[in-house]
Amino acid sequence: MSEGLSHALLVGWLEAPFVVAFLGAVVPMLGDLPLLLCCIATGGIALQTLLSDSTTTLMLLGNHGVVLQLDPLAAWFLLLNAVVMVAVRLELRGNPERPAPLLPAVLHGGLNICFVVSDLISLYVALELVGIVAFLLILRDGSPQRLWIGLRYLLISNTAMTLYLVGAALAYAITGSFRFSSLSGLPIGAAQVLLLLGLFTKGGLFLPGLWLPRSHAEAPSDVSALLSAVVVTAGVAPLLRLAAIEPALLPLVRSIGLCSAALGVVQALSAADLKRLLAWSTVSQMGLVVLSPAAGGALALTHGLAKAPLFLTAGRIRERQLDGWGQRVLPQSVQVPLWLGSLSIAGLPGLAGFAAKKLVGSDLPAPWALSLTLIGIGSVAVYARLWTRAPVPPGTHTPEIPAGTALLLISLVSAGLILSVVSAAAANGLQADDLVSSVLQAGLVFATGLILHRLLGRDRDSHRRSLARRMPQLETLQDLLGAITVVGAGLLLALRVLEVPG
Amino acid sequence: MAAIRLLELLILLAILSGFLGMVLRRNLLLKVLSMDVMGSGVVALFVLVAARTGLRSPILSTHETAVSLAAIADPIPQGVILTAIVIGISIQALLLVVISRLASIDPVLDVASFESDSPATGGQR
Repeated sequence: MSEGLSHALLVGWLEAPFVVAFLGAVVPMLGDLPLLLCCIATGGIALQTLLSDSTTTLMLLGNHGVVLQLDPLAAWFLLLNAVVMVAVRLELRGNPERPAPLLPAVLHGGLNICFVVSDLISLYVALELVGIVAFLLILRDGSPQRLWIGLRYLLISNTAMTLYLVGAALAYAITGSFRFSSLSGLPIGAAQVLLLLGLFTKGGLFLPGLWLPRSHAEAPSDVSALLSAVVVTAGVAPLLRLAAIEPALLPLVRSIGLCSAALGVVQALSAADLKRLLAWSTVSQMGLVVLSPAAGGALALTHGLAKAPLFLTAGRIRERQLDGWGQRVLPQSVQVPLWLGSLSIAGLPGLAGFAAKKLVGSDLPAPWALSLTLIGIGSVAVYARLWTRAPVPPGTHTPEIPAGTALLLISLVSAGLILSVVSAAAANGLQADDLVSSVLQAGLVFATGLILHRLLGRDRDSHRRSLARRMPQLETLQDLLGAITVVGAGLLLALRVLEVPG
Repeated sequence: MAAIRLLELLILLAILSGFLGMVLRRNLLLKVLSMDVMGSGVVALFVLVAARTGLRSPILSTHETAVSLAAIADPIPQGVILTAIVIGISIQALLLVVISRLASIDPVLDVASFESDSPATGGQR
């Protein structure tokens, strides 16, 4: 009886945002309150799931119907979705051009479904829903530039999702079911490659996902915060779920993840614009998230909590050119979020990003963990570009940090404290000097990253030019469409090569 | 069984030709139409997958025998693809609306004329 009740509650919770969106459109007086209540419910359910470490599986409409799985993996992403959505709505309070809560509510509901769903077709529907809403959010003001960016995004993601459907049809033809679990034990072939291709594209991963930097850089800043912190994870969370169910997929997912991480860092090092730097860094961090199904959720949460305030703050800075950034005089309300967010992503011990990276590192075999360290050095060099040394002149009027950004920073700091305490308690008695060595390692990474930053800082312009000369164009629509083919063919080829010795 | 194999091959070729159209055509409208060709191919693929168990529509009548039930098509892929058709149409509609707006900038709708806008500069605010 109580189980039936809790199932009904879960279904109600998943449906609530859509009801709220509808009500909000009919009765505009309601304002943001219902959406905020939905987010609080999401956050509560996520925390409860994380704390009790429980898994609830729902099968709606019988054996061939919708399969939902609420487990800790989903809970990390749900928590992120709740906090970032509340913060972005708070940040926009009092802004005359604030959009109605309709689209954000649908986005919140669609994302919740993406995170808990565990069958191929429901995931397809939820991903397409999220894609459409993200598209509408991007072209909010209807300027030609944004129309083009939105069109490009929808075109690429729909093409990839069409291929995903082909994969789903092939998988059904073999197994007779659309459930994720039916893929386990299935020899890896074209079906899985097509499914992965769709998710890579949605998750902003290597090559077909490279629509991301331009879209996130040119969307309105509050939308960028939502897109970069949460919406990309709609493709990443199902990847983690699939890789956890079928470990044979892990090598493919991990190699693509590593390629994205490396490419993202290299491009962010030479980016000329603040928002482009942040967007490329999202590509690289998402690459790190897919390395580990067990700890990826924690990393995605800490990344989102840091990236959202960075984007929100970038929206308040008028000049976003990064040349001469180190000498810029910025008010404290800009500096605090920039420093905190970037230090967390770079992995300063004590902040959330460090704890999450440690979790991911401990889940990886040795060669992969080494590459994680190398990417970490790159990330430090990337974010060192945002650290200004110019002091704020005394006596100037300093505006306060807006409520949304403040909420995100508080969540970021408390997530860091909680994660550090939990991981220290878990390691208790095993090795006390483990903590010391990881802090020392982080110090080494920071030092190396800063040296790299210095070396590059001298002639970043020539670095940028040589990069532009050597790297092929990757971001036009034609390249992205071609990238789908290249990565698909590459994955199939890799499967053949891996098969031969075994 | 061979007929099904042949049909499957033809359908996959249709999807491939749609994809090639997307890659090779420079006109945005033709790109979106090619995407529709891909989508139709996928619908056909699902119908084909459903037809492996039988060709009759999966609607029960009052006089069913064991033989007639055995020849029924699989309702699951057919039901699933209905949702995908609806989503495909709505995305198509959205894309066409945006394209009609973009046509005021470049009536020829050549992809290159939209890409040329400098990607390095961020949008305003």
